[in-house]
Amino acid sequence: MALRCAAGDETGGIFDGVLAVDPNLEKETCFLTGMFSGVDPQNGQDIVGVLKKVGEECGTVDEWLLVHDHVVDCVDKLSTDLSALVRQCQDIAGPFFAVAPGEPSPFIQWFREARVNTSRVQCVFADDPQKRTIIAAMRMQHMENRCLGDQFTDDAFTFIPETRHLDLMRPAVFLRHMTDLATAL
Amino acid sequence: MTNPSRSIGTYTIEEEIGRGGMGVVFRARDSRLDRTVAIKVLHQQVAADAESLARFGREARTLAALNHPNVGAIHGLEEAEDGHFLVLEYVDGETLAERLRRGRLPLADVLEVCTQIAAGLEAAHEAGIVHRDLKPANVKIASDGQVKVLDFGLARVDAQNAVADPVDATQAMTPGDPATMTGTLLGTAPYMSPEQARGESVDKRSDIWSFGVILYECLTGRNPFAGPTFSDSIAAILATEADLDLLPEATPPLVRQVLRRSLQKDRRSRLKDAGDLRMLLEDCRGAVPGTVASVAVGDSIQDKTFLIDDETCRGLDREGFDPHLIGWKMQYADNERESDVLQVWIPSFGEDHMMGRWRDLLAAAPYRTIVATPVGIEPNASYRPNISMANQLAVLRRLVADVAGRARPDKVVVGGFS
Repeated sequence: MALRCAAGDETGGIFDGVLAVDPNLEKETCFLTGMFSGVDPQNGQDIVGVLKKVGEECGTVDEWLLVHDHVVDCVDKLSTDLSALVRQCQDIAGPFFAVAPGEPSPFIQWFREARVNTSRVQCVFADDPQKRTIIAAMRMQHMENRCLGDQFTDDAFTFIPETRHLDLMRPAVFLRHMTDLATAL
Repeated sequence: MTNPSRSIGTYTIEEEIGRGGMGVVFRARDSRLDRTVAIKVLHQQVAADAESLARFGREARTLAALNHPNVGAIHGLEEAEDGHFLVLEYVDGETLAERLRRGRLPLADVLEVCTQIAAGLEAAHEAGIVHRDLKPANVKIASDGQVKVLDFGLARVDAQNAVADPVDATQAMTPGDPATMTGTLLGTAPYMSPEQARGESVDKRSDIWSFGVILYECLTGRNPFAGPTFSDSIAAILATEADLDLLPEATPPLVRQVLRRSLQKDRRSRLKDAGDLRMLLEDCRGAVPGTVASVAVGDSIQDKTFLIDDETCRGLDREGFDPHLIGWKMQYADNERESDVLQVWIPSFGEDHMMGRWRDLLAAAPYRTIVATPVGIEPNASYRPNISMANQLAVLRRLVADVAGRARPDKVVVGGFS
């Protein structure tokens, strides 16, 4: 969302830098938001059905706990009306699901526009083979058509070795990379 | 060979400064290099066992290559006529155990000392060395405030060759190698991790637990798992939780979080990396008056609202516009830190600014930081407006412009996850 926030800044003058921690790249990377975006918020059985699937992608107990802590907090808070949560998930995942085969990921446009509006955009990714493949393809595409913008530099994308998506969810990780970004500006 | 003559090799013994399961430690003078060193003369049981000695030598060489200001250096493993001995960096000062006998430490000192311990652990873990017996007695505080962690990696050899030490009744006595045997206890009881207490193999996460115990003891003045006997301590480690209610009120939320995550009985739920420990504590140091990077505001996180007025609404898309937005108050938290950087964090889906990890981040952040809850996702709301993402972000940009207009930072950065 940080990318989209900076990309949509029509004044181009609010932000100096953007840090996107393991941002979504394609619909396959929008696991939880993709699931919740398809829920009928008025249908209890539908909601329970999605909740049962929440842990399926977890590879470790730590991840399972993190994901469930997060989901329990959200559902507990919003249980009387999940409409806002579903809307939020639809808006996060929707652009990725709307992409036709062969069309570029919306990430590319957001990155390019955010970069135009700021001095630096830093994307930090977990060490995920799927994301490495997607990013490699994006770089190839950029070599051909400059899709990531003229200001793009290779160091805008960083992979953190031996990490998974949820490893990067911790405040310490946020602060470490934010400090690096602020220092680099 | 625990009663050497007044010299050993080229070292002149000055006085005995400690003894444990592995041998006796002396302060000595290195006449070749004209410096004071510590000499650890190995018990005969260690020196006589060729396999133990070889492994000990390998670990000593690994440690000798580890040059870090928070790790007590090993200068070498040498042999004299009457046996083998380690030549160690001599650190003039008191151990953390000696310091703790006078009571708990002030918060600023806790953060200073424990950050340095974590830095030493981080360096050793990166070199593949696990301490296995981290405790206050193995932490030396030099007179200039420099903290040194001592005896890295030596516990395995120490325990394998342990002899009864009446001075330290908490010392592990069961011989064995944790890497190859089960049912073996290594370490010092009140600081042992649950997996150590069960005699299982250990890895760096065991040191994270021991670190958590030390941090707790520094804050409260008491070990959370201390018992009258070895067995009582083991039982406490396996069955009871450290009482966080005993922590001083001023303990920052992030420090509490470090403790919770360090003292997880299941090591898979524990913090995995001493580097994370070190960085979290460094961030806390920045928020506590009296520490190196002190700032005036500290933990004063303010919960605020931003009025979505007519002017803001005029700039929003009609699609995805809920009339309830006019006059709505967007909720956000602000750490009000004086800084030339303003950082803005967008919570992940469903999250709000009151959730624990955002409060931790706000408390630890070295910069002025705001975390804004998207409209409709507030922690308490009787009505939740239906608002598009485009409008959510437009409102957020107005909020940021408003805060930046008052705080006048040099740089504004925005961050988000996933």
